[in-house]
Amino acid sequence: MTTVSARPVRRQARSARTRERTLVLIAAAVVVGVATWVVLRGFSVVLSVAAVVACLTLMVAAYLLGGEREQRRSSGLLYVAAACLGFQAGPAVFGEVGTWVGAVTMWWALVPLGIVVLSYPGRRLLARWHGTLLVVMGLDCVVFWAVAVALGGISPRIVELHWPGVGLMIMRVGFPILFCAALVQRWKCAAPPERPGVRSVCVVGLVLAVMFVARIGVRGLAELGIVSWSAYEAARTVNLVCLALALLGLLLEALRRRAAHGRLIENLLGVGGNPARIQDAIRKALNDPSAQLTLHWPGGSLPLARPPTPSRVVRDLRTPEGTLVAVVDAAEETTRDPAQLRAVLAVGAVALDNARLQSQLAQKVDELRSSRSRIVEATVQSRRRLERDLHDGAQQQLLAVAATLARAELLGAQAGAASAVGEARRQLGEAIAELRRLARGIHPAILDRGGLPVALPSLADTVEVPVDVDVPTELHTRLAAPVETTLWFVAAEAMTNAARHSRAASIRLRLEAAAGRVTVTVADNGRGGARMIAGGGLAGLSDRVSALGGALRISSSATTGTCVEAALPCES
Amino acid sequence: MRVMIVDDSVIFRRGLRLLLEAAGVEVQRDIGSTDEIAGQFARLRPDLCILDVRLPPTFTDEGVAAAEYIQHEWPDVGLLLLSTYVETRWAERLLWNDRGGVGYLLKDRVNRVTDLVEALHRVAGGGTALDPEIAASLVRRKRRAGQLDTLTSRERRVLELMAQGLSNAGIGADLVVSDKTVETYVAAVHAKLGLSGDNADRTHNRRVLAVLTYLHTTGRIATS
Repeated sequence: MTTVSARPVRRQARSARTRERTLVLIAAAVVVGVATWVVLRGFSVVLSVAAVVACLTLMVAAYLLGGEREQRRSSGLLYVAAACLGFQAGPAVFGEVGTWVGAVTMWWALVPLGIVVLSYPGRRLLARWHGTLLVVMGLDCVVFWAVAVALGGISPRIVELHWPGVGLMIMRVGFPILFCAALVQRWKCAAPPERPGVRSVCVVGLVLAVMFVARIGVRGLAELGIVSWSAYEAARTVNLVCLALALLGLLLEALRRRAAHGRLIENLLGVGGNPARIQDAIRKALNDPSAQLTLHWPGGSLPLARPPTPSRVVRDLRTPEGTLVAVVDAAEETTRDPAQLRAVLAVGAVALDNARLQSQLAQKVDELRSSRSRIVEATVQSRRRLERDLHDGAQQQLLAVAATLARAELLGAQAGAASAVGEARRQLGEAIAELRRLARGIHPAILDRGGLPVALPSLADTVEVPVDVDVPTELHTRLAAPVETTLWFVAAEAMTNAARHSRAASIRLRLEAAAGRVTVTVADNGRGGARMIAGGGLAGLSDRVSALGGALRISSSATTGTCVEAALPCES
Repeated sequence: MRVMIVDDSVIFRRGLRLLLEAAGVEVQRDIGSTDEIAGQFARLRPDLCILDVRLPPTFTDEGVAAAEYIQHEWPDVGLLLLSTYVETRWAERLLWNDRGGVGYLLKDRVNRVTDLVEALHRVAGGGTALDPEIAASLVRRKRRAGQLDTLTSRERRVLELMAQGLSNAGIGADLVVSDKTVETYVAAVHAKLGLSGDNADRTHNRRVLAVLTYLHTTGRIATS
C-alpha cells in the first residue's frame, strides 16, 4: 500500500517543481524585460544589471534549494527576497515614490535573507535574539520611519539633530553590527556536518552587513557635508553590485549542496556490500565518527565503535518500501542538517539493503550447497547400506543355499541328502523374503499403484507396534512421485524409529492434504529422545523434505512422546 | 587337513562347514569374528584357515588383517580368503609375496565343491589358489595392454590356469591334454613373456608367483 500511495505523491511533487520552474522563468523574463525597459529610459545600467543579477541569482538559488524538503522554507524566503529586490528598479519607473519603495523593499529583502543565513542549513534560528533582531530590522522601515516622520516631518536627511533621526542612525549602524555578532555566534556553534554550508552563507551575510554599514556611513558623511552626495550615489551603486555578487555565494552554496548529495550517493553505494565499510562511509558523510549502525537482519552484526557521546539521536534506515534495514545511533549534532541526515539515511538504507540481500543470497547459496552435498551424501550412504544389506543378507543366504545343495549332491544317495535339499529350500525361502524386504526398502512398488492412501496403511501393517492409521481413502489429486516417495520414507523411518527406540505402546499415522500442502504426521506415546543429528536418518529426511520446498518438524519429549511431521507443497 | 572357518554370516559358515565335512574335510571350528582367532589357534593349531575378507567391526578388510596376523604368528598355516568381491586389492599383500600357502576365492566356489576342496589342499600344501574369475580378469587386463599379443589363445588359457595356481597335471586335466603338451605350452609362455624362474613342476609355487607378478605389474618385468 505504501509503495502504491507514494507514487502519486512523488508525481505531485514533480509537477509542483515544474510549475515552480515555469514561474521562475516567467519572473526572470519580467525582471529582465523591466530592467531593459528602464535602461532604455535612461536609468543607470550598472544599477539595473546589478538588480537583475541579484534578483535572478536569488531565484535560481531558491529554485535549487527548493528541491530539498528541508530547504523549502529557505527557498520561499529567498523568493521573497528576490521579489523585494525586484523593486530596486522602482525609482526609474515611479520616480520619487519609487525611490521610497526601493529603499523600504531593499531593507525588507534583508530580513528573509537574514533568516536564511542564520538558520541555514537547518530550519531553526540558533538564539531567540537572532529572531528579535531580524523582526526589529524588518519593522524598522515601517515603524521607526513612521515615528521619525511623525516627529520630524518627511525628510530624506537622517542625521538631523532631532532624537528620532539620531536614534534611527544608531540603529541602522547597530543592526549590521549585531547581525555580524549573530553570524559569528552561528559559525562558532556550527556542528562539523553543517560547517561547509554555514561557512558559505556566513560569508554572504558578512559581506551584506559590511556593505550596509559602509553605505549608511557614507550617507551620514554626505549629510554632514563631509563627502559629496554623488559619493553616496556611488556608494549605493557599489552596494547594489556587492549585493548581487554576494548573493552569487548563495547560488554557489545551493550548487555545492547538490554536488554533495551526488558525492554522498557515490560514496555510500560505491563501497559495495560490506556493512562495515558502509558504516564507515555513513560516519564520514555525517561527519560523526561515533555513529553506530545496528543491522536489522539475521546474522548481521557490526563491531561497536568508540563509546557513544552523551547526547545521541537514533534514526531508522528504511528502504523505499519501508523495510527497516538498520538503526543508526549518532551524535545529536547530525540533526543540525536534517536534509543531509535524511539523504544519508535514505542512501545508507539502500546500500545496506543491497548488503543484506547479498549476504542473504550468499547464505542461501551456502545452505543450498551444503544441503545438496548432504543429499548426495545421503544417496551414497543409502547405496552403501543397500549394498551391505544385499551382501550380508540375501547374498550370504543364497551362498548358503548353494553350499547346502552342493552338500546334497555330494551325499548323493546317502542318508541326509533329502534333509539337505529340504534345508536348501528353507534357506531359499528366507533369501527370497529378504530380497522382497530389500526391494521394498529401495522403492515401495505399491506406491506406484495406489499412492499414499494405499501404501501408508500397508506400511503400517509391517510395524511391530500397533498403528492407529488416519489416512483418507483417496486424495483429491495424485501427488507428484517425489512428494509421495519422500512422505512414504518419512513415515517409514519415523515408524521404524518409534518401534525400535521409543518403547511406544502405539503409533498414530496421519495423512492430510489441504490448501496446497500435504502433511504426514507420525506420533508415538514413547519415551521421546528423538533428535536430529548431522548425518542421521532424520537429518537426511529433513534434507529430502526441504529439497522439495517442505519442512520437517520434530518434537520429542519423555512425557508426550515423539511427533514427526513432514509438510510438503503440492499442486491442488 | 584341519580347517578353521572365520565368517560373520552364521548361515553361510554353517553351510560351508557342513559342506566341507560332507566332502571329508575336518572343520575344527567356525567362528564369527577375529577376536577369537588367537585363542582358538593356540589351542587347535589348524592346517588351514578360511577367512571372509569383510568382518566386523568395520566390515572393510579385517579378514586380511587377521590373515597377516596369522601369517606372522603361525607361518605354516595355509590361508584362504573367501569373498563375494572380484577385488584382490586387499589380499594382494598376502598373495604377491614369496611365501605361498595363500589363496583368494570367490564364495561362489562353494557351488563346485571338488574345485574348492582341491584349492584347500593346494593352499594347505603351500601352493597358491587364485579364483579363475580373478585370474581371467588379470589376463584380460594384460591383454588389453597389448602385452599378451604374442601368445596363442591356447597359451593364454594356460597362462590363466597357471595364475590360478594349477599344477601341470591340473592344467592338463582342465585342457584334456597330456602333461608333455602342457609342459610345451608352459615353456612357450615362459619364453614369450620372458618370465624368470624355473618352469618345472617341483618349483610350482615360484612359477605361479612369477606369473602372478607378471600379470599384476603394469610394465614388462625384468628378466633378471
